[in-house]
Amino acid sequence: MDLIKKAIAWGSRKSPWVIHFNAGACNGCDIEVVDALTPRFDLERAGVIKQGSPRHADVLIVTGAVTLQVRDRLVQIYEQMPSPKFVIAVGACACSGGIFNGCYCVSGGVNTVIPVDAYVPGCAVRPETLIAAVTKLLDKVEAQTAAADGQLPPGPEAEPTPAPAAAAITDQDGGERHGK
Amino acid sequence: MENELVSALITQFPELEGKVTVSKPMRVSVDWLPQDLFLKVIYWLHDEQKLTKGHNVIGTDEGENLGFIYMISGPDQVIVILRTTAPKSDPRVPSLSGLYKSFVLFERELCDLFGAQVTGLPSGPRYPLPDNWPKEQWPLRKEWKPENFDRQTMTYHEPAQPAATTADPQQAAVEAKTEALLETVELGEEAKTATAYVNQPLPDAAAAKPPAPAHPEGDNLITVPIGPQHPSLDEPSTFTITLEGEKVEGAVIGIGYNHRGLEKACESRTYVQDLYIIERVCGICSHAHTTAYCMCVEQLAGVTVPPRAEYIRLIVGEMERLHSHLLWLGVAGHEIGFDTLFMMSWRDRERVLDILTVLGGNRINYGINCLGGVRRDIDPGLAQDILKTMDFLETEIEYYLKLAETDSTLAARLAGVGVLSKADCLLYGAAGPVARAAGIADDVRQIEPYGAYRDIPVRVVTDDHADVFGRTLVRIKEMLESIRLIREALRLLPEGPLTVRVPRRIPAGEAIIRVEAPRGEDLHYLRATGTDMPDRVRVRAPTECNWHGMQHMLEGGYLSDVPITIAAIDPCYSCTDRAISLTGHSSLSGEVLDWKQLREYSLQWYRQRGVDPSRIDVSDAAARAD
Repeated sequence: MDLIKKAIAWGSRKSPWVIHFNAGACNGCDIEVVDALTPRFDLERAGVIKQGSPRHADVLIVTGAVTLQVRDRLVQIYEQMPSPKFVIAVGACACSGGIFNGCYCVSGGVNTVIPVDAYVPGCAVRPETLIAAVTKLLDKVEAQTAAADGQLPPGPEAEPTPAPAAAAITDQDGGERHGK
Repeated sequence: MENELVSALITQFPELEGKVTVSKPMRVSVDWLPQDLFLKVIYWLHDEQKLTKGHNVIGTDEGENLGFIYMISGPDQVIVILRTTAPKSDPRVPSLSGLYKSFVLFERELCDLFGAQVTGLPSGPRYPLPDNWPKEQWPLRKEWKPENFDRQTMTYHEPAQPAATTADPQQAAVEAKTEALLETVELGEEAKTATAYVNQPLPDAAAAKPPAPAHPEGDNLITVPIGPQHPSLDEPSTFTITLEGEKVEGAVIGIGYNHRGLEKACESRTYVQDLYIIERVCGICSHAHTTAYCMCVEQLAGVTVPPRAEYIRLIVGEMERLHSHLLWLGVAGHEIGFDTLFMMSWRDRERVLDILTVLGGNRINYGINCLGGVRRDIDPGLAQDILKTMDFLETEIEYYLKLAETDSTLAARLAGVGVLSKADCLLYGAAGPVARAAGIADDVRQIEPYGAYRDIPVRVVTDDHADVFGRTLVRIKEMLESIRLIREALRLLPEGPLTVRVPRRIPAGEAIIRVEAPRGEDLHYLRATGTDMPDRVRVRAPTECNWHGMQHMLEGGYLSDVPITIAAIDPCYSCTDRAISLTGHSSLSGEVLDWKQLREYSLQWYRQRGVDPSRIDVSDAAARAD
């Protein structure tokens, strides 16, 4: 792995810049996403900074069941993000469509539109759950980097203690797609 | 009040005898009227009785006809409900947006969701359905089934039907031609615009940009498109802002990105299931929405909620106002670059959420309400905790009040921004803190006390600044009032059961309930037909009223004030769930500049002012960037 790639991997591990997009949520999860950045929870201590532009972001946080009006825009936003990029679906609606699944103007979960790396359940998601999801995603990034570097992924001892409210992480298409 | 209005109506229009009823205190209901009589009545009510506030327009499906229900009120705050119909074969209805400015949004909804042809409606983008929604598909008509709609290809598959009668194509062509002629002759210019709106080709995402520049003085104007993803608010919306230098000349704000279609979803679920959908209309004012919905169902079922439940609803409602206003204060601080205020008020907001978590088990969507009462009780220990939290918050909020009143940064940044005068508030039908900041004591908790507000009167907070500064003061003072209400309610909290039984099938009837959400009047309409599912649910969120004055607030302001002006109405798109267009100056239609043109423009702008950017030495910086 050349130096640039190493630097990018280090940067996304140590300071993931996130962008938040509301794809038709009820506002509950959106507030909790912002809440995770405020003093009580302070996700910024993990190096997370909320960005305004998709071109500056590593991680896309999507809340809400994807409405038909938003669907194409969400793809555009995803395409504007530089690689390697990761998507977190936050909340029951973003995971599966939730209570709005089947409504005429709802496409369903985020994975009906763009690939998703982490699913965070809850209605509304609690900030603790979101923090757990972000830290797990970061571990996943690190494991990928290590694997690409020819090293073994960290063993069970190296894993941090899981947070009380666990977030579901899927590995369905993670490693290859973000190809490093 | 109601009876005087009824007798005045019958004296003026003897044909209304027997059709006007006082359905409950503060509501005067008029039966279905033919369109000509309906127009006479509504014009008379507007001009002679000064019923100048338009609350809501609801579309309904009446089988062969479309129904239109209008709600208006006057100085004495009695809501008059007027109804008219149009056959589905010719669903024309005149626009009343000339009389009531706030009706534009509701009438666009009639066009999109019911396929009504609202003649005379000002042209504008469609609302609230997506840009690529298929033609002639009206999702809120009863025969339209969401399961037949393919959301991937955006096509509707008609269910298999018995062989359709084959009409003579020649005959049909002649009819269509006659129809077209009649329309032109009878309805004139306005009607054509309206039809053009209804039948306009649907723009796809790429073509949805403003029309080509037509303005002669265009050199000084620039159009900035922002959104739907943007850094300022947390919800998707597009802003197309026409600027002359830094000054806003016109703004088109597109929302509707959050339209999920939950009113249709409510029609295919039971009353209990709907409660969970209504809770998720909006994650911030979820309690206000469920309170209104539960009150609708309880009124129709004829049950009385136990007093203890009423008091708990009040306490949770006021706590919701506290956390919503603290949230707003933080967002407002963030929009003006005062992030310390943002962090501080959100830190305090956590204390309210802690109480709600203990009470309801969840931080957001705490689901306290159930049909016929509340789900959880406040025990003495929790009451003590609440009182302690209130003491803490009172100190903090008094500090914020002092800060707002004395801090020169806040005053400089907020005073005189986004002014909406008292007259304009009345004209555009503004609600909640926006109206109260302009000196209008418009608070449902006082106008039409419901639940425990009958026992604990509210002192309505008003202000006369009529700008963002005034709205800030009103919201901060309202928090202090909420703390007083919570303390009072805990002191008077009666003993007794928490719920009464509500039957599964709700007797036929309709209910119109309004409650005071943190953002203003929240109006719910519910119609039951005797089954266990509602026939029509309509949620009119407060943001939907406040959007109408937005263009007025933005115009003449500066670009840097746009975020705080929009944030100052505390917009909630998920509540509003719909789209609005604020058309700019007609002469200033916009243009879209690409990146290169924008760069050229800015270089030009600086050159005109004697600065030549090309001569600024950037080699150093460029070298570093490399």
